[in-house]
Amino acid sequence: MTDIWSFLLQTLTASGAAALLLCVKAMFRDKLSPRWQFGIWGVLAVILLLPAGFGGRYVLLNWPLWVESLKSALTGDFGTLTKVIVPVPLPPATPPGTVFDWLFLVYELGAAALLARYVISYIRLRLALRKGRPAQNGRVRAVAAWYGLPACPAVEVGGLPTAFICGVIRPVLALPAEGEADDKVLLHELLHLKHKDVAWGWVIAFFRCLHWCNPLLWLCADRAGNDLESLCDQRALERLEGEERRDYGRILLSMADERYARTPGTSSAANGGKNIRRRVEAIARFKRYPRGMALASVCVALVLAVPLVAGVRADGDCPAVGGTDIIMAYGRTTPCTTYAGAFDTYAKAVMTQHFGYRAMCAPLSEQNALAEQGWRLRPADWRWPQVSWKDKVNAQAGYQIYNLTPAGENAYEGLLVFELYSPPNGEQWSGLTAERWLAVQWLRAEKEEERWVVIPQEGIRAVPGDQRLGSNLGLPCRVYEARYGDWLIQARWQTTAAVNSLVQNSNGFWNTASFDSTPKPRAQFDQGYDHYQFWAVYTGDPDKKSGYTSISLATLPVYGAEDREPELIDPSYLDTDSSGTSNWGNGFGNCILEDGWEDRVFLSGGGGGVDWGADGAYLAPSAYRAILYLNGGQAAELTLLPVEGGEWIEP
Amino acid sequence: MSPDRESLYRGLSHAAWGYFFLHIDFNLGVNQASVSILPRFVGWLLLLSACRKLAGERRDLALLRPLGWLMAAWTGADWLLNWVGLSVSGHILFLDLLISVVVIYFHFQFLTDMAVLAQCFEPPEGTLAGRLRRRRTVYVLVITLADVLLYLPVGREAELRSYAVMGLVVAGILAALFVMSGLFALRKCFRGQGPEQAQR
Repeated sequence: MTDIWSFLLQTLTASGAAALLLCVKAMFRDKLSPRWQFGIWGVLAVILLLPAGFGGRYVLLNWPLWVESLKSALTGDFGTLTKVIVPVPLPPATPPGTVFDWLFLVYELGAAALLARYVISYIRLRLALRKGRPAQNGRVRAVAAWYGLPACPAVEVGGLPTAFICGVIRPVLALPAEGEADDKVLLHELLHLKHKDVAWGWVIAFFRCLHWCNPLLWLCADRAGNDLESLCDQRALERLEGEERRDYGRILLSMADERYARTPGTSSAANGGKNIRRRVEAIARFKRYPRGMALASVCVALVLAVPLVAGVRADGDCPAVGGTDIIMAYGRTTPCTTYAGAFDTYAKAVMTQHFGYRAMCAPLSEQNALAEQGWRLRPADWRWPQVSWKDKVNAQAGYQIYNLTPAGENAYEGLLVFELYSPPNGEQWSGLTAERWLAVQWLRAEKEEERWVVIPQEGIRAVPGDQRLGSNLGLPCRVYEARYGDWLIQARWQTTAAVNSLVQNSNGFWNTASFDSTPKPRAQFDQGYDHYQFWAVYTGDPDKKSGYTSISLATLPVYGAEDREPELIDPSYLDTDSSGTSNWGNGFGNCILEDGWEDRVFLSGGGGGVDWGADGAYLAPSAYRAILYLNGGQAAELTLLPVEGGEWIEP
Repeated sequence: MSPDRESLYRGLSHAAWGYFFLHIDFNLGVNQASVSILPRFVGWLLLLSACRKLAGERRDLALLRPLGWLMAAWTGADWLLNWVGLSVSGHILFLDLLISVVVIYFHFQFLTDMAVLAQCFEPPEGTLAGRLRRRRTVYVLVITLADVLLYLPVGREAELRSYAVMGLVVAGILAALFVMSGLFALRKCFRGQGPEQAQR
């Protein structure tokens, strides 16, 4: 914890869990055993030791959202994300400059002062015990032997109200010099010794120091301490019979009015009148819990522990209403944990023009500017990023990321493409669906610590002419070329990727699918395809065109240093317009050139699925090997090489 | 049958049918909402009735009644909200977890008490108490695992989890049917039993 906000996040996260545990314990106070009553505090201890908000998770309530909202509202800062790296206070990196820095300093001083107080009081107690008179261990050893418990050195100290164990590593049993401690009190303390309960006392004291200004956690610390004593009572009562149990209760009652001055590192049967009253009530309910009860105890503990410790991740359903503080905070605290999630979130931010979605995948350095935009546009219209486009985006058609490519370590690039109903800026549109406009934008996704963020590489452009969202070779492609005689042989290759966002709707009779525009910040690309086409372009003398009657091409993509040759075309296919592919990547296309054929001849095209999670999914062919046939005869073996070093080429 | 035996017999009938209502469900589509025609709150009311009728034999059952009322209210509210396409669960994790632990404890304690009843009333050579305990253990484990799986955060394994939860739902129905058959078998102990045994 390095600032007041991270402390707030940590302490609120623990408080939510503490409130739930207090409720559950109240419900099961008379139903589950003291072992469970104390053991369940272990869940709270784990939560206190785990950094709050780790991995974008929260416990019970979205505390990171509320802390971030409060921080932004009070400081006007949107560009930092509150993080808990370790759940203990760390020295601030810079001298205090704001009131919040001073508050954190006060918190740190408070924690340090309380810890110092505990340590000093423990040291003073140990020194006082050193001055005590070594006790005749006969009775202590006799009680330990009778109940089969370990013993430790004992000292008699004047003025002690009752016996207690002090220390974890070299424990000492402190006995009052005046009078003789009852055997049952010794039994209680020796049980503390056996189960090393003093160590739990230190753990509780440590958490008290960390959260000294949180009364709810102090209440839990009190309850945990009392549960530890109740557990020890239970263990003692299990070893006692009949009248001895009643005596034990009477001894406890006799301590109820005594002063309660607990020092960390000690255990004592006397822990204050109010607590003793609770313990006596528990003793009145005493029963030996059947072995089968462990099943219910473990099951209840598991159901509480798993969601509390594992936490919940915020989904992408950022609130569409609310103040800019809340929307921006939601965006910052709902990180995209995959690059596919970041692309998906950005695409949906653009398509729905929701600046909260954009905040989810925007770098922290851009958050202040984004919030500024949100403030400026609110309340008339806070939509992002192109107000003038808001009625022109066909959000139901979804989007595609074209030509997804790794761009260095932890970075990917791709072209976002989505449909427009009509041109955005008054351009003419034929009205034909087939000539509907698309909007495109090159994007780069990068990992910024734990978050994937998207950095647009250009403004959004509207491109006319082709309605196809998927498999559109009119959009940028990798181009491969080879030349032979009058012919330029050309291949175009591209990929598409998208996160499946279709949801099924039912009206009772019909099932329909619609596009869910809620971002999926943790998604993987589960829809991926590659597409290719082969063309032959005649570049020779127009008068010689009649000399060609057919052109055919057998092809094979080559990856890296592969040394395979394309399969020859079955001669029976050379007489007709035909094309085909095989599972091994071989393909062919044959075109009969009839009178008046165009210079640009389509030979073949196709594609297949891409598993974006598989190794080598992003690998483009390094070249295409081809066998060219002219007029039904094999003319040449070619290698089509990438144009412009394999860059994506705009049509 | 004497009034006491009649009460025990009815209590066990209510308990068995309570488990039927808790696990067997048929839904009716109403205005795009799905409403149960065998609502779970009826199951909880039947279990509450069983607690009342059997509390004379097992005093621990009286401790379960507040939890039973809580569950009846929760599932009743859920059933009412279902009519308008809403549900009480899944909104506030705090409450969902409270309800989950109440359900686990209630079934554990209730079936433990049924097993103790069987131990008291079945013939000495009978095995019903042991069978009820085993079925209780399986039943409680299944509902616990289903809850844990539901709350376990998953990434790409979400599909795997949904299959596992479906498997556990089926296992839960089977376990509930076995529990029902055990309760019906226990009910037989109170039909045609000698008066001296019924006094135990």
